[in-house]
Amino acid sequence: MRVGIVAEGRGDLAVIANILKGKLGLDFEDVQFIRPEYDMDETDVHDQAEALRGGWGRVKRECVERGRIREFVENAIDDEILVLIQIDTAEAHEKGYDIERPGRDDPDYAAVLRRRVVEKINAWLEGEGVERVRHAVAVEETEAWVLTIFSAKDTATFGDPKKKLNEVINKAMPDKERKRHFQLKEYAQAHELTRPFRKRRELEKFADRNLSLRLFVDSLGEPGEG
Amino acid sequence: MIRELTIKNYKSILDHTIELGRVNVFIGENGCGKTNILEAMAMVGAALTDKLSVEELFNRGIRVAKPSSMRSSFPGTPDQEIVLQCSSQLGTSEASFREELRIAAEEGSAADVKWYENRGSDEEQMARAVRSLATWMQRPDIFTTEHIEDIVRTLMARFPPSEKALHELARGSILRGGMGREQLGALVGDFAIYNANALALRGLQTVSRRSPMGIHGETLDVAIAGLKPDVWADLLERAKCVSWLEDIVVDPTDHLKYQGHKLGKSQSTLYFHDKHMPPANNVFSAENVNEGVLHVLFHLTLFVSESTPRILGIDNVDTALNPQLCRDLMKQICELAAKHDKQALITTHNPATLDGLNLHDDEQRLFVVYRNDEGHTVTKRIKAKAQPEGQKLKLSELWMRGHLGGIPRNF
Repeated sequence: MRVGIVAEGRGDLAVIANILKGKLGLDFEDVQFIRPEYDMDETDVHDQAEALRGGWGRVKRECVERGRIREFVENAIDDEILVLIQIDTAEAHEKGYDIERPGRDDPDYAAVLRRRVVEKINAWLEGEGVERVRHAVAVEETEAWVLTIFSAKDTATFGDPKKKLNEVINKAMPDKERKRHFQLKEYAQAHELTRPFRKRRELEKFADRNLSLRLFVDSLGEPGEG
Repeated sequence: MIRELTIKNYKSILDHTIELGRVNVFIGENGCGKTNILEAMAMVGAALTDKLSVEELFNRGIRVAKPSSMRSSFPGTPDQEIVLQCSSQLGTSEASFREELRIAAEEGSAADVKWYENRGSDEEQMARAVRSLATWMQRPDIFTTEHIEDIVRTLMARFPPSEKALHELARGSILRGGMGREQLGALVGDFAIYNANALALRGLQTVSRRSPMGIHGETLDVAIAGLKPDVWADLLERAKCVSWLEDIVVDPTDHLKYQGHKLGKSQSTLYFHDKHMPPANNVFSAENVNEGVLHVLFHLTLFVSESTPRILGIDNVDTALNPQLCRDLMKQICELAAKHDKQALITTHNPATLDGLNLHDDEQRLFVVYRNDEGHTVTKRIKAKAQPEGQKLKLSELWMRGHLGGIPRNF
């Protein structure tokens, strides 16, 4: 099986790839990064700011235009395939994303929000190939999923997962290791932090600490949500 | 042909099986273990012909290291033997024979290493021979009951039913004769890994003394001089994929040297004519000709010569070649391998090489080589499916765009 991933950022790609290993046993060679592009030449990279290469806007654009997704699905390689769309909900209210959030006190907040985002993604895709699409919807940021490795609490309760994750790293890592970690590129940082996701039993344990992670992990073993 | 190769405990390959076609191309990032696969096949050839000396291994293109580095050294793999299994196909039939080789090393000192095939105790050998016999008995399409009975009668006639007879059976010298081990030896016994080198091709350096041609292209002129006229004519036409090439001459007396066409110390007697220049002044020697034409000629010769191995390895087939030439060369290699009954294991780093493959032909196979989570080298065969019109991407583009894998991920 080959899985193509459309994600907001390079760190997200690494997190998803590790989850795929833990859940489906897929090696990196079975996983292909569709977006953000990493096949640009250095001239293009120079022309394009890092911020422009990621973000929900890019994910939406790929879903609407579907150029790279179609290329992945329809190319000449004969293999079973799955397309994975990763998106955070932190900016779900922004213009163009246009998700109406459920009430914060809704006990099904994460599940309802995820369902709305899934419907939105499928609308962007105009239903094309949704039977082989899975949705990695992080409520509210992928960092909340990463935090499940470091905290036994429900990580959806952390107000600012990015800030919390940095605090946890600063506390957990010795000076030398921390310095080395922050010198790594975004992809390598996320890959190293989420290595524990690559073990199935561990992944199942961590998934119990964040509902949106649990819903994503479970969806990998199910038929499409389209 | 060798249809299946299982490699255990060899360098970065802990335990992996590859199903081979006639032309097999391996791609993958640097250090993923592509060449280790070719080396394992070279070890098979060396073991089958009892030529496991360090010098012989070097001459086959193996990057020989101390025994502990030749074996896998992953955590929890203390096995002292390299185990190689290969299955060969009998002509065009589906029947195959399997041979297992267990290779170990005796280390006196760092400078005194002896590799040998560990055939096990008499009892183990006997068990293997009997298993082989049993396997053959299950293939009535190849060996009838009369065949098997004939083998047993031969055994009984040559050896009285004694302990010695059982030992002969165990060693398989009768059972294997002409059917298993010897046949495999004939197929793969002279396997070597060819890796073109400009100095060797120019006749300026001799590292390998294999005959008729060294593994780096030494004595290419000798190999070409030994070709039959029709084969040479075909080779010359094919070499004209190098656009400026008009003619190639082997000058055994090296007369052209004395006309000033070769000024240095080259031992090569190959000369090339450039079609764009006037005949009076269009000759270049191997010493000073463009490097690409030497590489093309070297690789084509490997596939047309009767004196080169029937099964061979080529490391970095793309060296010094323009992308379009890589594609042309690969296509010609596939054609020549079928025409001259050769089988090849080839590595490349140039995407354009892949465009010369037709993956709809089951005998032309593409493998991505990579290190799995544990660091073990494994392969994945890339199979093609039909693409919709308008969506077609060349294999080279698919590789570069990440669809094939085999590229570093540390971006």
